[in-house]
Amino acid sequence: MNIISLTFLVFFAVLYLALYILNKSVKKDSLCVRISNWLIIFASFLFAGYANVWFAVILFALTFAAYFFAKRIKLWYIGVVISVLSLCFFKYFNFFVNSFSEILGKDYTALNIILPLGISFYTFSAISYIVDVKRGEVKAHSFADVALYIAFFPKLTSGPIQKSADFFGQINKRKDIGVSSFAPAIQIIVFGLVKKFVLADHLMLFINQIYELPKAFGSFTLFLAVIAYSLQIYLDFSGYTDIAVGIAKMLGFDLPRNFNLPYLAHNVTEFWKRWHITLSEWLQKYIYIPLGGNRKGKLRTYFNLFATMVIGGLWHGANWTFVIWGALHGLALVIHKIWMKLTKSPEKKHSVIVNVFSVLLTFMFTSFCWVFFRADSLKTAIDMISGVFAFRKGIEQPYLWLFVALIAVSVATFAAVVKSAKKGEKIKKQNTSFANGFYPVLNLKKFWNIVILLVVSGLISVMAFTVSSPFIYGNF
Amino acid sequence: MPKSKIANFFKYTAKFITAGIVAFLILSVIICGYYIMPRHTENPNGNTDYVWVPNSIWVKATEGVSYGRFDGNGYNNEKVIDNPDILLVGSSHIEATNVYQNENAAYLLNDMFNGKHSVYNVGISGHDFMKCCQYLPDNIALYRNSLKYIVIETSGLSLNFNYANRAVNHEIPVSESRSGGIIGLLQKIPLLRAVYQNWYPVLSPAGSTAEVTVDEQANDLILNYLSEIEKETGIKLIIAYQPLEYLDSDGNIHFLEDYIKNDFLKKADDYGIDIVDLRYSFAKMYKNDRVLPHGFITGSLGSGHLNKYGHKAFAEAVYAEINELEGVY
Repeated sequence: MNIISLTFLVFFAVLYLALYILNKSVKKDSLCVRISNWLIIFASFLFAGYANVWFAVILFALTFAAYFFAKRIKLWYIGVVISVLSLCFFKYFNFFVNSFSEILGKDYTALNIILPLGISFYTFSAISYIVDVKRGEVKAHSFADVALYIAFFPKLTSGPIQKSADFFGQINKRKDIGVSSFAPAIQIIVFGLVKKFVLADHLMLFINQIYELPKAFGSFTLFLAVIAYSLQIYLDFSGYTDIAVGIAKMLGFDLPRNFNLPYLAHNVTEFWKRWHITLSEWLQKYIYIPLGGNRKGKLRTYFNLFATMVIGGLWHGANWTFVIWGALHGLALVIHKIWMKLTKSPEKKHSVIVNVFSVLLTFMFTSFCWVFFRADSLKTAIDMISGVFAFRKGIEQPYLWLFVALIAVSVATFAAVVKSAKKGEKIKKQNTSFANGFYPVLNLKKFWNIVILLVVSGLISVMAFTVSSPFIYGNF
Repeated sequence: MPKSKIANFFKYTAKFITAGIVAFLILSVIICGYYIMPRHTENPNGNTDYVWVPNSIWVKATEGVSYGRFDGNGYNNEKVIDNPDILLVGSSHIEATNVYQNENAAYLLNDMFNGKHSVYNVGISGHDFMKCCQYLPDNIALYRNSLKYIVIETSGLSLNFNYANRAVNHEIPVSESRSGGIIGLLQKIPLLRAVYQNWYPVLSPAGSTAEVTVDEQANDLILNYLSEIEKETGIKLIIAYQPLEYLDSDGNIHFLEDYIKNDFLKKADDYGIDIVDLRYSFAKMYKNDRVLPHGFITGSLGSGHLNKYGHKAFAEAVYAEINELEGVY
């Protein structure tokens, strides 16, 4: 079920109404919580199985496996292997068999395997639950709790990948379902809708055309497309996260934020602390550290970093372009680590010019890496990048929505910097940004705040790109 | 429920409604820079289904960025020309609300002819090639005293016999302007019109495109009809064919409907009807300047309406054709 559809609106309205009535009518906290949780579990499986009932069956099977093997903790690794193998089968079977067939020079007819909705995200949740129980960070929970954690529909399709301890901490509390949670939640959703439908989807039109025909366009326009995709993926994915956070908030749950002004990062290490934060943390906790982290010498640390990012790249999709994207980031993280050691840069305070240069360099690096992420094939990625640096003639097309998006992101970033400065936020390390993002949540008791919310909502209805376009991370 | 809660509820509802009205007014002001289109209204002269409200203004940033004012007849011209000797008829491409008025083909042609000929544009959205053909007798009746040429713009030459037959018999029904009643009233509110315009593709998704075929019978019927008009009136008819383009993966330009066009072109020659084939102008323009005739900075290139480059190529090609017909080189 697409969270931006009339079907979802009806589905959510019915669920919300039921929870609201339940909350008002059942006085006993534990009973109210238990019924609410089961209602949300039922809704989550309905959400997963709406397009294909097998999606719900697979989700149920993996949820049960996580619950079962976390209870029998000596067999924890079987639960992890089941999750990993399921992901590998549904997502990578054709990719790997096809790649081996090509190496061996044999033909391979791909199996018709449909990727179950959200499997990349909920298998990670399942793994994190089992490993956290194994590590003693959380206790083994009831099936209902585990099902709610893994299948919770606002985060099912594209995350955020919440830590199990954070989620379980909220499960057994009575939720405040009413105006006080609805008012901020609806504003966060509207914020996400602006990002997705007004900005990201308009950018998509321009980017799709250029990635389809890179040879037709001039170098400057190819460069604009590279920048445009950096904005599109940020606005699209953070827009989705905002909507998911807003929906969860209406149901009384707090989901973590996934983005914190990523393009203000001074280096690629900081970028990964600001971009898709929940995935970065997951990769660090469940791959990098188990591989040995930085505890086994320099070379091993570099290898672990690189390997973690390659796996992170591959997680995004079964294509060599994602592997290269991950490898480039892995390599950059290694180089940055060596650079920090050589120059002792974390201990030095740099001038404004150096800081601005760092931010721009990081932005340009991540933008060119996105070319591999966006391109359908290595050939397209190479055509795009070589086209930018060929300084060749071709169609030169300025695109109005790129400038609108640039202005919008710049203004929002500036507002976040000012707000952070006012709050007296300090940098945690040298060569990092002190600014933190925030949701522009207004007090809707005030007249002019209602006006602002209605004006923004009205602008969405006039300026939204209305041709159906899925969320980018919905494909992963 | 306690009285104070009920009072608060009504107080907040009143506040919310007032805020809604204020937001509506603010949005209406904002929208003035984004999308204002007047409404269609009945055409008293009967030479097109409808016209825009005379002397009304438009602002568009949805497909291209442009603004302008329709003339006293409700067409896109700087001013009404009562006795034009060249009439431009066609669809929304030649209506040209996606470009500034001084960039459209009619304006450029007037500029090029520099008083030698006066060009009047009665192109209007929703008028395809067949409908333009249907209205030829009405246009001729209206401007008979002065007309020497009629240029019919079209982007499609895939004809259907039944539809062509209705056109030559003046049987294609008139599309109503819906300028009256509640719909007409709602159309007067720019914000609602902008919302409707944005959601129209979702509310009324386009049907599947009809199969593109060569209907020789339809070609004969329409070309014979045009040829008869030429003979009866002595007015030269010129079909300006401006097909949509697409690019291949190597960046080479191609055009839709190529084979249909070739068939039509051959037949038009037999019937003595002039065709300005803009494929050549567009291809040359792309080769020399790497610009495409359709598409804007707000959307995809190579799709949508004629842009300023397309209008320029259109005007230059028509200008060259008329000069050639008049023996001017």
